[in-house]
Amino acid sequence: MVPDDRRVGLLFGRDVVSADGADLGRIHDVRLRADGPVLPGFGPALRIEGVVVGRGSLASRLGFDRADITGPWPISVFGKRAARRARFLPWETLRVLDDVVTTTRTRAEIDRPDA
Amino acid sequence: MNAQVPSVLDAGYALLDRQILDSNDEALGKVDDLEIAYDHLGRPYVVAILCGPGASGPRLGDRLGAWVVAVWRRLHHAVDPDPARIPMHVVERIDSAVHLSVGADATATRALHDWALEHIVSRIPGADHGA
Repeated sequence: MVPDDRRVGLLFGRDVVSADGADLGRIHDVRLRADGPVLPGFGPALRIEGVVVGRGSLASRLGFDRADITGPWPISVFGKRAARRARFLPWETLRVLDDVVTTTRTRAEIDRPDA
Repeated sequence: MNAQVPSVLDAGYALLDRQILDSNDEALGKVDDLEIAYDHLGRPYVVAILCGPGASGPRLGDRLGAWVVAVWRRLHHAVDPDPARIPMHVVERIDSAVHLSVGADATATRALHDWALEHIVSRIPGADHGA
């Protein structure tokens, strides 16, 4: 069997905790960037760049928390609200444990990444 | 030639559960999970698409997921089966679906489908009347 730590799908829904112990919500998505090692016949592999975390919401579950979802307006409003609450965490800041994912960043650093 | 894939994509939104089409545009199944490997810096990258109940079961989790995997293992001819695996080098394009550069015969994605066709569907009275 493919080990659990080699399956992207098993990251989804995991709880994420900040360095100062704050509950950041759950992993909603895993961001891939095509800049990994070159795979013959494919090109640069899709590397895991990080994860998108946030509070659970119906809009997120249905995939409406995206910039390219423009309507109908109730969905758009709820989706944009969910998108504002979502946070991106780079992979190198994460530590995947059995029952939870931790990040080396504090809640304040995550909420104000430029601070 | 490199595959045509977006430079950045969210796995859950743009890849998981997408339809997989072979080189003849025949549907092979859906992307149920992605297998990763780690580079020399310990950074994970996708090496294969996993599909079938052996891949979707663990994602479902809880009792339902365990039950799906148990049934799949019971029906599988191998003692310790792995999920159907499609290496990334046969992925030609990713858009609203995942397009492969090879035909269905070159993948193991239809093993359960073929088994069910031979052992279950073909034994149903009237099965040979199908189109």
